[in-house]
Amino acid sequence: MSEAVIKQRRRFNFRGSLCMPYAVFMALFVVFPLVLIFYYAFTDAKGKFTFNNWGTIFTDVTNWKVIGVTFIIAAITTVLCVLIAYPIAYLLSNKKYNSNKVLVYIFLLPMWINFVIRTIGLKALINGLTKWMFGFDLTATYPYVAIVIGMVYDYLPFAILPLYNQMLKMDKNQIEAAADLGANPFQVFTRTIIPMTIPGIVSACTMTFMPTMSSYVIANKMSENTTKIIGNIIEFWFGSSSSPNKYNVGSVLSLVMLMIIGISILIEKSISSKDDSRKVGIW
Amino acid sequence: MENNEQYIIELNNVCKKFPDSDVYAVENFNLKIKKGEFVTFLGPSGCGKTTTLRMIAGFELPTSGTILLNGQDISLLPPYKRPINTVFQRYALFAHLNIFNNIAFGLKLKKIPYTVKVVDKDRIAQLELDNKLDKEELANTACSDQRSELDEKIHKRQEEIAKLKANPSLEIVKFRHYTKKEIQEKVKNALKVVDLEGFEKRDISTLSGGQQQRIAIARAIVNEPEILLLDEPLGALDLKMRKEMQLELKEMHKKIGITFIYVTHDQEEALTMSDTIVVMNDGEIQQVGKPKEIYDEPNNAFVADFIGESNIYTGTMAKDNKVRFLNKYWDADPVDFGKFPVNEKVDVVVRPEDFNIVKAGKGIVDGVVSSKIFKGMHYEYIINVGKAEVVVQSTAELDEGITIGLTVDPINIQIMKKPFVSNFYDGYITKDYKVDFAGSEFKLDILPLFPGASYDEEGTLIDENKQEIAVNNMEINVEVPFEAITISDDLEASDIHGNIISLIYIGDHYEIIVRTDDEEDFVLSTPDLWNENDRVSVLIDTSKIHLSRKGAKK
Repeated sequence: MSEAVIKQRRRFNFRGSLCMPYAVFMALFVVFPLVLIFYYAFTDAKGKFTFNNWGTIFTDVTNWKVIGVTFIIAAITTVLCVLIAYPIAYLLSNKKYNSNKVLVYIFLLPMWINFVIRTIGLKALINGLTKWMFGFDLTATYPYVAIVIGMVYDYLPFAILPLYNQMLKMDKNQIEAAADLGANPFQVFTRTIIPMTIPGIVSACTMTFMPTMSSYVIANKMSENTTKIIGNIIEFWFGSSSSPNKYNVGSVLSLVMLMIIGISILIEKSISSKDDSRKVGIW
Repeated sequence: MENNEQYIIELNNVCKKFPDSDVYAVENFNLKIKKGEFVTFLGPSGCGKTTTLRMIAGFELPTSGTILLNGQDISLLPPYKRPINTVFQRYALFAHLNIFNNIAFGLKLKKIPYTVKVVDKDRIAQLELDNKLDKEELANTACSDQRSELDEKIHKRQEEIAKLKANPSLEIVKFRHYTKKEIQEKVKNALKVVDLEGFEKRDISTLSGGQQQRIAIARAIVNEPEILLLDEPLGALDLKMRKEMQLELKEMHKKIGITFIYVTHDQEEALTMSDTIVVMNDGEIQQVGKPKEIYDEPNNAFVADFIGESNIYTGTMAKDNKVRFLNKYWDADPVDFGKFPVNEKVDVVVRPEDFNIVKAGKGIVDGVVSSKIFKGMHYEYIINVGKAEVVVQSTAELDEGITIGLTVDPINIQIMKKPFVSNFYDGYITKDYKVDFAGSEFKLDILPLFPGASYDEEGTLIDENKQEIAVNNMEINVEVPFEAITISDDLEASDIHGNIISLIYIGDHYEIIVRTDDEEDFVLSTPDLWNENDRVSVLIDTSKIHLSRKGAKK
């Protein structure tokens, strides 16, 4: 090939040019908003550089409490989701119980319904149950319990799906080999099935932790608007606040949430990076 | 009992039927394996050999029948309770563990018994109680004789107690795990056996296929199982590696001396490695024997066909210890004398290397050399004898197209009983897609012989890719069931005429053999009485004829 042709090819890289729409999209909807948030977080209403926004958030003890509560609710929800989803995914991946994959769709079907409607329906159901059994509305008396129930219910499919995918890929031979080498069913589970599904567990954690950290609609519905999580405060600052710095302070909260999620993902990644070879799913 | 002890594992009438299937995967499997033997289950895929192995390992449970290990029934024991380890076809190494932890997997789980001596607390308690009672008695006794007697008793017991406390004497069995040092030692030795010393720290993904298989073997033998099961362990390796590993496995078997049960579909592998070969087909054992026995004296046509190359013909036993095949009479093996009645249809097997090539006319049969392939140690010829093909191996060099004679030492002619409800003929397809057998042409549907084939507009047989299939003179097996044949004394009824040469009354019908002028036989059953030497015409219901391609079993 002559040099001129090579040069010409270099000048116009057709395959590379196919990336352009995505690059534009990313710049517009990911990079630009992030830059904007950073800009707002470190400036005041007049555009002057300041750390005051951070002071506004962190000098208020209730904000600390809300961030802590949000984190705890998200962590409990994640743990519960994975604990519930794991056996379900295991059964679904077993051909004996799920030969035609209909059960998978049944478990994922709730995702087809608007989640606000789902949440309101769930609230009516559990309040009816607790009223009949104990004589009180769960959402009013124990709002935190109600929020966790609502979040687990809404995000369970997000935990089932990555675990199910991972379990379909499990090497059945390794399970048999473990039994062959003297592992009883419990040891087979802890020594081969769990290690083989770690990438799925990490994905399931990420998939439930991220939305539970940021969602506030479920918290509103399941606590009769009495309990605030980080999403509520962000909504307050960007929405109904009358402060002139409202976007700036809200941006600080967004950054805080971003950091919590980011750090959590880094921790999860470091757990799963031990075996790069079998990475799976979203991460 | 004594008899049982020399067998490490016994399978008695083991049957296995999978829930989603109507047929038995393994049927009436009976086998006894001696300690230290190298046994190979050999058969085509789907013959039930792996299922049998999985039942021994415990991954499948037999539908009926029992599996005894050292005389004890283990049929329903879960795999982790059996002192048996498996080397899997796809290695099944634990990807999340390094090599050391893979091999140590079983060792870390294993609990080994050991005896300890402990102080016999029960005995001491008993003695102390006796002393206490005697002391009470002593306090209440006035007689001096009795007192001294009691004193002595008490004193003796105290001495015994002191002795028991000082020397733990009671033996009890406890279980412990291997220590770290023991595990390291054992893993090191196992790696030595498979020739991968110093690989402990490496990751599974850095190994080649052959190395992974060695690790899989090390992982199994490190547990010192009573039986090592190998499920086509070399199937995924390339040819050269496979040959090397075959020899190494054989070496390993000698060195560690445990019983090996090996599953393969590769007859060469089985012949190279095994002490005993179990040939299986359709879930049933066809033959059990030493490699040489199985090669030299196959039980039936299936075994002969599966092990090594064979010429298999349908023959007829004749008078004077002769057998007729390839349209000639051959001297039969003396061991077969009297085994088969005259006129019985049999399978005749001759190995390609057992034919002797002589000058044309000097042999029993003459043939034309139609193809010649140099195979390194010898030439392989295909000789056309009439319309039949004979594969012959010889070191002599012959030119294609010349006519030669063939003889066979009687001892090399294997005669086997035919599983028999039908007449079997060696037929061939003619130019216009008719089938020629038993000296006549029949219009039969040959399409089922060629999957995916069809006729084009001109009536030419074509395959899926629209290529013409050359079928002219292709040899096929023709099976004509007894009930497809009727005979008539109207000689105009068909073209096939013959004389009844045998007439046997079997319970409620006669079994009749009709021999044509070309010396082809038709066996049929009929309720009517005929006379020997009657001249009859033979009618064949062509819809009941079954055709199959030669060598299709492979």
